[in-house]
Amino acid sequence: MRSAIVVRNLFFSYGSKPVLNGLCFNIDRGCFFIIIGPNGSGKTTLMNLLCGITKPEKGEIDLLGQPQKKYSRTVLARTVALVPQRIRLDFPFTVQEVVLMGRTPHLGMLGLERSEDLRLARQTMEFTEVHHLAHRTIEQLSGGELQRVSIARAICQQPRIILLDEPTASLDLAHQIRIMDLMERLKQEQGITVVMVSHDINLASMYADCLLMLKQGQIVRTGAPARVITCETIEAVYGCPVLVERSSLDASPKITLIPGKHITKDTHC
Amino acid sequence: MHTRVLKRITSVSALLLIVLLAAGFIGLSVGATDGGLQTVFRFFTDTAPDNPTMETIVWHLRLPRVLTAVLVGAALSVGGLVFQALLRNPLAEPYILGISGGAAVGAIIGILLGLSRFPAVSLFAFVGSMGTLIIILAVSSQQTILKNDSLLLAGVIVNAFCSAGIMFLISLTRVARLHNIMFWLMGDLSTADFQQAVVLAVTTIPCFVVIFWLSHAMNLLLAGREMALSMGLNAQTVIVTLLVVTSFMISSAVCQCGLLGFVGLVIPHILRLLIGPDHRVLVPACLLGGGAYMVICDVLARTIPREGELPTGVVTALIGAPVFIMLLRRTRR
Repeated sequence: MRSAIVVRNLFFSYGSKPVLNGLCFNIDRGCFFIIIGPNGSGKTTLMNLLCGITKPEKGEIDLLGQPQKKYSRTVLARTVALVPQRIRLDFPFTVQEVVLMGRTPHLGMLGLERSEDLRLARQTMEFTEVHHLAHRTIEQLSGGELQRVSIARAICQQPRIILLDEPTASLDLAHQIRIMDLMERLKQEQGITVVMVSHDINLASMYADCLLMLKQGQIVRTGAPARVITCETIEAVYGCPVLVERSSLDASPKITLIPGKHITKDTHC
Repeated sequence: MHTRVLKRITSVSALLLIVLLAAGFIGLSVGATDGGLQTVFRFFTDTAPDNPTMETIVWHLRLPRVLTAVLVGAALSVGGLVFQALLRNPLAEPYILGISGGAAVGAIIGILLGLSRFPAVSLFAFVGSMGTLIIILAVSSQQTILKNDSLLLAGVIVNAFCSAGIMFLISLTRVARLHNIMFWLMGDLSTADFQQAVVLAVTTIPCFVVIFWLSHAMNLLLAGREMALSMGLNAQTVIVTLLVVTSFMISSAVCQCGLLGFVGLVIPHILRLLIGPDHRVLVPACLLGGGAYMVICDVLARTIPREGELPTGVVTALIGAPVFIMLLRRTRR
């Protein structure tokens, strides 16, 4: 299978502080790829680099077999869409207006939408279950609804690759699973490559075809969840001992944090 | 095809065009001398003029003044709208940010050097406004230009500096010119003539076209530079273009009519409340609405005092400052 994304020797730093230190990895087409790692490990920076918001200091990124540098801004936006941690729009746009903004790379300078764009926006809003909110302004929405609007906007770009930066952070359980299921369907039904940054290891383990674990801008391990999530890697990366079991649901690895009172000398791997 | 947004643009613009025409009609008819109404009517009913003095007043004094007011009001409102979008802050406005002040400093230097009003003084004003804009962006963007307080604070400081600069420059000049400059500084339309209106039209109308062309880009920029980039916008180019074009437009308005404050705050705010935040509709709306608003402010400036008239900037500030305070309270919530 050909790769959706190939990253070679990627370096990035903010000033003198290195953030990404020579990353090399592949993401297969049509794969659900999840990046995990502690805060400050460079996950968000990596996402910004992948979608071309920031330029790498050194190294190459290939998208669908072509160097990212060769893409024009518009074609890049038709190839990769980003769902940021939080979409910030202080002005009272309606849900439909925000979703339609995703059509920008397919439209002219004034972004005047055709009827098929409107149809696509409606379809997408139905897919992410926000169609009933179409004419509400986005400041009236809850966190989960706003995130699904943001996702609908990204899908409207009709990308081949969708990048999501901690889409489930600060959402309650039902909304978390809803968004993960949406991404699973997007992958299954449309063959879109889903790349997600997640802080929730258990959720990541259940959905990911492939995981990548980052620490201080370097890859600790990448591969199937069972290979990446072990009590050794978690303790090495996050600095706390955990219990790794198999989920009774699908045998994916599942971690349990260990409270201080249960930690003995044998607890550590 | 394209129906939804285009329909909104046309219907909103048509409505505001009527408002603008009505304001223009009032602007022509009302003033210190009575009889304007009949003169304006006579023009439309095609009967022979019977009052040559009034003809002159309406068509040679009031008409250029109304045209100037329309263009200046439009430029300041659209300018405010652009700054609000770029800084993602509904309180941004050329006067509050000190950009008008910078243009005034530049213009006064040009005037004191004895240069012609156009294009030399305009060029000085443009340099002044770009200078203050760069200072504001540098001061407030150390972390982020989105922060309300740092942006407003930068504006206050730049404004104070500009006022000091203006007073310093005025103190250098001879007394005879003083009254004129002071009146101009307070925002004055009383000297408007056809030549001035033409200069304004030539300098501002191309700016309006460019800004309208980039109106959808402004929508995207409201979601942040990063998001705009990820949706395929060449954000950097658009931002620089908008800043330069808007500064040019503002400096041109300041050059002709001095400091008219808060127009760029009041009109975009009201229109955003009425028709929503889509800039493709807001840009033409602010253009027409701002024009109408300025004509009415000027009518008030001409008619409120028993004798003589007020600088128009006094009227816009008396209306605008309370709106600003109201807005500030609301954004603090």
